[in-house]
Amino acid sequence: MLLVPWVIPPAMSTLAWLWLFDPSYSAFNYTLSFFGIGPIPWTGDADWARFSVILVNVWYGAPFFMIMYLASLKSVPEQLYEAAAIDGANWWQRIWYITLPMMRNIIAITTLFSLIVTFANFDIVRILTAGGPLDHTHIFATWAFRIGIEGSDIPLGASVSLFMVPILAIAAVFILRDVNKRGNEA
Amino acid sequence: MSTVTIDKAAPTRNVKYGSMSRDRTWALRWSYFFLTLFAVFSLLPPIYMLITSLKGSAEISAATNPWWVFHPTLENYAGLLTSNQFCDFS
Repeated sequence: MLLVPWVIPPAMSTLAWLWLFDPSYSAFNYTLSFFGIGPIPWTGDADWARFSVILVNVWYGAPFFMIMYLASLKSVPEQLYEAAAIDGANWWQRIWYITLPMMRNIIAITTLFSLIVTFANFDIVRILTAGGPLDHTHIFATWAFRIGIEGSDIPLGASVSLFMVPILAIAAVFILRDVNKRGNEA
Repeated sequence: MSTVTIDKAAPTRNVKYGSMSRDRTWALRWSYFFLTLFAVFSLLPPIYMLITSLKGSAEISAATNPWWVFHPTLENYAGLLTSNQFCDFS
């Protein structure tokens, strides 16, 4: 059931979100009005539009993170928690000194993956805000589309597309080097 | 025969030991609470899509409760099944 966001094509699910955020018929604003909260310009204001895009992106990406972290959590040996409990470790200490160190590699790799996917994301921004209002919610992919396809400046669009490559490459090198280093330590 | 003496002045560790089963019960309760929240969050758009698909065009543009279908209709699904274009796609 929690994998539903991953099963529905992102274009369709983003349409559902767009309908939920709709300025005239927004189901969210209808619900919030019962709590005395005025209509929120979900996609009309730059800050709210960014928040909406982030919310939908989190909604779409959460099942992947959930599966990865669940697999990682299952691989932590139960004996470590028992030993820590015998030593008097509280919940927070068990998380900080056992769970997180054991999950570090998975967290690093999923972060890298999420970084790449979010940078290259197109559907959510394109459908939800089309980069608006006033181009405040563009990401590289939608900006490249705007310039290259809609603006008919394909060379500039191509350079926008490639602009993210060195940034992601540097992030990937640092993260994977760290993962590799920990692998050699083990 | 040896005798054991207990030094009452020795410092004692003031550690609050909690039962592991009690800890787990609370952890389970919290995890179910957050799982329920997350399930609502993740199912919101598909459920809204379902609700919308059961409405007619007039009801969509009416200023009524968007979370409820006042006049449920299957005309959208029936229209799909009788559409040649849709049958070609599927």
